[in-house]
Amino acid sequence: MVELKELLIETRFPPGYKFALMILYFPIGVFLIVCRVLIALHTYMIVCLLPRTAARRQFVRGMLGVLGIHIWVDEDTSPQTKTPKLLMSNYTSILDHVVLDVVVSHFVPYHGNVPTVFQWVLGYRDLTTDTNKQQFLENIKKFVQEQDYPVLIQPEGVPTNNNVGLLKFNTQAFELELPVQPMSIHMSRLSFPCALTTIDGPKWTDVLWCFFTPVTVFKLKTHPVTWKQDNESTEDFTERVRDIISSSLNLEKTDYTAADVGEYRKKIKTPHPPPKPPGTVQSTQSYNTISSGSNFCLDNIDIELKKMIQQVKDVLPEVPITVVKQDLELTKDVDATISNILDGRVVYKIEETESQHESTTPKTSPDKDMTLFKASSFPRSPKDRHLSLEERKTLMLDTARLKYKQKHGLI
Amino acid sequence: MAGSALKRLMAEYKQMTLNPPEGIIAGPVNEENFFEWEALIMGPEGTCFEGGVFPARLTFPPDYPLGPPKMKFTCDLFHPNIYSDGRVCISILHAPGDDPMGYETSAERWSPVQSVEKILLSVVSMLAEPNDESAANVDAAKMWREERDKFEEIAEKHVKKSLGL
Repeated sequence: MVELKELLIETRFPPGYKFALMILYFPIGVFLIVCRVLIALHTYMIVCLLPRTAARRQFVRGMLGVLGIHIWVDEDTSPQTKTPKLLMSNYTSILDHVVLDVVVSHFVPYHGNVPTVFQWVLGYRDLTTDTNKQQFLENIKKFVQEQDYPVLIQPEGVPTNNNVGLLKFNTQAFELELPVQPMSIHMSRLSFPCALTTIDGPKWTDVLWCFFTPVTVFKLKTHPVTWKQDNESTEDFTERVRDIISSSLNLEKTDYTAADVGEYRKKIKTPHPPPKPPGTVQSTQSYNTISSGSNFCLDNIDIELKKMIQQVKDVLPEVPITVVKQDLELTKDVDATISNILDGRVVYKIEETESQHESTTPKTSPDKDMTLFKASSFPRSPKDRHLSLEERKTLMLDTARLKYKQKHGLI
Repeated sequence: MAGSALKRLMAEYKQMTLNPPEGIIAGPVNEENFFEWEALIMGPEGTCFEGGVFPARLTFPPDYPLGPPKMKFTCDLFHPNIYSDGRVCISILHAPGDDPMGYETSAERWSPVQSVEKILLSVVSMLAEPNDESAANVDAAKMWREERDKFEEIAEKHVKKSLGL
């Protein structure tokens, strides 16, 4: 069973003596970056002028060679029965699209982080105008019908190191029932110890490191076009395409998804939260709430307690960490501490979290009493509580009705 | 973890009962199942939804507050950020990890620090200021942008309907 961390690379350079060699190489690398950035700029301008033809692809391939990106293609020569509308490939880095474009001219649905200047020449298409996934699929469908070019989908969602395994595919695009051409990408830097992509860090830096490295070899393989059979479910079809790619790359199919990778990224970032100046307000965004607290150092408590504190904080984020810790030391039980706090047996001052209330609250109405439906107490018996809730609901509706009628002169 | 989810929900219920934000009521549909809530939201003043009382269902996952609840309006509501079946589409209802395509760059996502109160307040401000750039209901977004009069007419109709008049 492959572990998630084997699929991902955390640091660009390996430790040990190889790192020392890298330092020696560094000046050469920087020189290469400078030259190649200049060449890339010129190439880019020329490509802008060329039409999308085979000649342009050849030119780009040659220039990519100069930039240190070598492409070996192993094309499937069997006669094609259908023209592919979707290209499905594994995900190694942001460069995949540029590299695959040398073999098959295609477009990529826009991901929101591509600068506008690159969009049209590189073939990014804004098909994702909204968060509505159905609409996104329809956009793709419309696009491939209108244009002769297929659309590239990388159903893994996030890049991995493509050495051990493949992530689970997102089935979304497979629902389209369009002919799919699976493509596999394998990247290597021969023995140069510099990872193509890392788990965090901006994606565009991958390009710079490509310029830094003497050569990066992309081995591409195209597979026969396939499509969803009548008696096949979307999941089966997705799995079949994944089979094709994983067997050609000799990768294991893992059960991890892009979301797992996101979680993992968060996890590796959290063990060493940056030291915060005492008294800083905890940000709502910081997932690791444990790092906050008033002048309190957590370094010297054991992990078990830390875990319990985190569990309590997950449920009651506004309670100061010191209070939680004190009570946990007495009770040694997460549930007991939560009950103690909720029932008011533990007294504390509410920890200040980012106050978004003010900004999100709409304009205050002139007569507050007409819109505030609060109960004077919170009864202990479920029945009474419910009655009070129902009463308030009816009151709200009645008030609203009355107001509406008054406004429209109905009474 | 279901135990702490229950406790947290109870704490939020108490908070929403004793100290609710303006124009919002929320609580469990019945006390047997604390993971299913009903909320009543009054249309914010000064907007085309003013005067309406809109009922919605909130469904909490067993791992709440680690996972966000789902929210669905049970009345007719024509709005750019509400799907035609009533589901609400705002960033606070999405966990940071579940958007692999990266549509949402917005910083405000679900985390245990958020609460039912904050969700409902976000929904109120969503009613007041639709975000037509990330539309769940494309027709509504288009109409909101291009034919405001017609949009307001429909909103007015839904306000009336929500009051049962």
